[in-house]
Amino acid sequence: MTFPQFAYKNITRNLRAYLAFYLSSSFAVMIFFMFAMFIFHPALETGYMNNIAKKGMVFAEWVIFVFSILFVLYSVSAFLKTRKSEFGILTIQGASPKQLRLLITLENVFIGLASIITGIIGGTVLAKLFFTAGSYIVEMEPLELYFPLKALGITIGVFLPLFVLISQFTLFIIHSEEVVSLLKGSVKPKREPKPSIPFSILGMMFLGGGFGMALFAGIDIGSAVIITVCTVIGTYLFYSQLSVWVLKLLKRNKKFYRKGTNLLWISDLMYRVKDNARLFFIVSIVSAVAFTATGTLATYKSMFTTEDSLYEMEFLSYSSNKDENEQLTYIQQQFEQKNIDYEQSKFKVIETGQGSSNYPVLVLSYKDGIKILPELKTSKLEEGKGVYFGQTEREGYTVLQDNTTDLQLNNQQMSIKLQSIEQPLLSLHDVLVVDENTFNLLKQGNELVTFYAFQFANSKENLDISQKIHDHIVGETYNPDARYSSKAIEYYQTVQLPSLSLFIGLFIGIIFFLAAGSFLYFRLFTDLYEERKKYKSLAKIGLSEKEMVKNANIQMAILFFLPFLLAIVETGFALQVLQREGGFSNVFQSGVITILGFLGLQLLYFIVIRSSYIKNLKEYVYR
Amino acid sequence: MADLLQVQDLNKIYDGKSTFQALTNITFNVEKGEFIGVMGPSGSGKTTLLNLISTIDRPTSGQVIVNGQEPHKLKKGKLAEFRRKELGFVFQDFNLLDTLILEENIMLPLTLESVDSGEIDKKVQAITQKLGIDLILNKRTYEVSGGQKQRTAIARAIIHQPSLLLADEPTGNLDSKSSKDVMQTLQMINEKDKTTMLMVTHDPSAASYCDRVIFIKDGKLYNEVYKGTNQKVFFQQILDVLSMLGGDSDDLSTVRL
Ligand SMILES: Nc1ncnc2c1ncn2[C@@H]1O[C@H](COP(=O)(O)OP(=O)(O)O)[C@@H](O)[C@H]1O
Ligand SMILES: [Mg+2]
Repeated sequence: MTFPQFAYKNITRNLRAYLAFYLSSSFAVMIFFMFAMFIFHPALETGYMNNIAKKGMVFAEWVIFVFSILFVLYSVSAFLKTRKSEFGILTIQGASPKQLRLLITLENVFIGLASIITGIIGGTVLAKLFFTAGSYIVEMEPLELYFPLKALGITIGVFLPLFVLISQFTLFIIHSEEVVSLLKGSVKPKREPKPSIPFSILGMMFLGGGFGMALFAGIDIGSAVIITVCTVIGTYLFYSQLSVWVLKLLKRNKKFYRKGTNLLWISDLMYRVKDNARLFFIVSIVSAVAFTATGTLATYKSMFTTEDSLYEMEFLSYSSNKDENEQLTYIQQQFEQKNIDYEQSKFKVIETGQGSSNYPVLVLSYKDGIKILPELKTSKLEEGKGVYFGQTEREGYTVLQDNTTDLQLNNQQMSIKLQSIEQPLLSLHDVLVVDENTFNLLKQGNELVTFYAFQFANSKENLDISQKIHDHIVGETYNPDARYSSKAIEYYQTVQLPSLSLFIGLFIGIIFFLAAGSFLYFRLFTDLYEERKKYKSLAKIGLSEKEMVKNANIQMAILFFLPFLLAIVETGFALQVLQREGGFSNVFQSGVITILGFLGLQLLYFIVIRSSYIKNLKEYVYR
Repeated sequence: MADLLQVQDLNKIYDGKSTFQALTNITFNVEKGEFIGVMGPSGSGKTTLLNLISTIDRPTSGQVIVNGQEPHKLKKGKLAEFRRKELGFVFQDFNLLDTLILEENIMLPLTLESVDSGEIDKKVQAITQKLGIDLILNKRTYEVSGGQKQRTAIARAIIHQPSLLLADEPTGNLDSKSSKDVMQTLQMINEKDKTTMLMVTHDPSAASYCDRVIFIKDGKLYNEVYKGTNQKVFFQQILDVLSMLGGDSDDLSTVRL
């Protein structure tokens, strides 16, 4: 038998231990690949993706990368634990260090390759599923599946070296241990951890500092990094130190500690506090990222209100605009290039402001008003009266009282009597239509601006030319001489972009949620073996099935919901920062909905895992 | 004297790829306060017998009556309660939890019963002083010797004053000095508390602490020997039966007393 054959046989024989390692590795690869596929999706690379969303995605990608490594390291160390005695036996049987190195490297590369392949396949399938389901949920056209060359390259390029590195890391651990301790393997018990006062205080300070800064400090790149670092360190210390204190306190309360199965689960938590701290830490952070991403991106959905214009495009040119003709020609050229049949209208209007807030309004003469909206003919306008077309509420504050009868215009003694308030006509501005005489009167004190309106069919297909025209006329930020608005851009920003960002938020949320869930899952099922043995011996001395189930329930509930709780708190602070500094108005509402959603998912996950876990225990312990 | 344990026509057939009759028509009684040993070659069915008596496993046919109760007729929940109240266990591999200190291991059966905390302290103190482990109560399982572990396990097994103490090879993992300690401990408990005991062993010197030893071979009762007044004579009698039994000869080479 050659050595590679031996390595292969070794894997097939030790399937249980290998399976857990293999599955968790494929899972890490799958999540990483799915996300990479998403980030490099052509629709997202070329789209006008919002800046915050883009930065968030890059950040999320980093987090996934780091946690993939942690995840694989975590499962490799669990894997090693179960196999230490095997290495000891091999060494005693006279396997040379070189052979051992070869064996382990081959094993890891073999498992690594297998998990990369399955991870990529699984990721593709899941991504397709998610693209379809997700786009159905957020009502946008499904992202098509593409050939993700970049994502493939990056995934393989990251994970293959990772597995090779990990095998060397494995070797390092083995070499640094005596054969005897290898033989004893995982039987070697751990010492009970002692909480340290300085570290506990430090942990409180970090968490308090992070949260405090989130509440009060001005946010820039620097303070954001400090808050993140503080929170992350604080979270780790919270679990590794504070949890020991709490458990110590519970232990000291003898009445509680010595009641029923309390002694069992408290001592067990204490005993594994180190493992648990790491797990809780990872799950908390990952969940907090998931909640925050989804919560934030979900707010886009409700941030904009759709406005309806009668025209596909609107172009407003002030008298100061020297490029008016050139810009108009540019617009027309775009239509011609695209073979779009369009209708152009031109009006001379007055731009002024109304009310105490001086809200901008375009004043049109009755003659022009009829051209825009023929229905106006039915309502004759008396002198000094007008019809207002616009929204009375905008982004949360009142533009115009619903029952206004006298409209005060800027720089004007007289006020306009409002005949009625109607739905908006244009998207650039609100509109006030007045009779000819009034219009002529107003003309004297105000500047006349030229308003062009374009109408054509096939409105949603012109996002690209709209964007071009917008860039040409308005430029990057603002042009004091001209205004431009397009239904296509409006639609993109108010419907497509929010949908897209909600979709991205969901995607990130789900992926991170899956990651956190899989951590919990693998943790539970690597320990299951030991737990079964423990409960079996307890059953012999009279632990009833009911008590076992209760004990397992408590332990699992803590595992599932303690990190969840801290994640919620951290999400709260993150959303508070976003609300204050990011200009999101109702982040909390969507945050609460998001967290409730995830809580529901987590509960479902808990119920499913719990039942299979307990079934397994019962079958083994109380056949 | 009344019989505390009655075993009647006990049969055990293991179903599997091939069925295997591990015990055939085993019948014997144990009096209240008696210390009885079960011996036999490896694979003769000792552990199987103990598992049936301790309700860890179910017999194929036959009866086990402990203190007038038939545990195999009890429902699951009641069965756990029965084990907890009537039985105490000592195992070859100690069966202590690593996660607990020795004291907690000992009090575990009482906490499951939710006995009052002060009461627990009193009982733990009394028992551990008796067994000479009161000074190591705060240690963990890996910090003490095998003998100390087994005495801890014994303390746990008797802290709730069971009517029957069952032990499966309690000295199987111990050196001779620790074996002697453990056996003397068991004997003392038997004499002082009048606890009925049933111990499986293939160590003749351990068996010589019993009042009576029954032998099984291939799942059937083979013989039984009563202790007279002299432990050394009893030990010799046990050796004689064992040599007739055959098998297990390896164990005879480590004769000690
Ligand atoms: N769970 C089981 N399934 C099948 N056969 C078993 C099982 N447990 C024990 N046996 C068989 O029953 C016989 C008696 O086993 P055991 O009671 O453990 O013997 P002893 O403790 O005397 O060494 C052995 O031949 C063993 O192989
Ligand atoms: Mg046995």
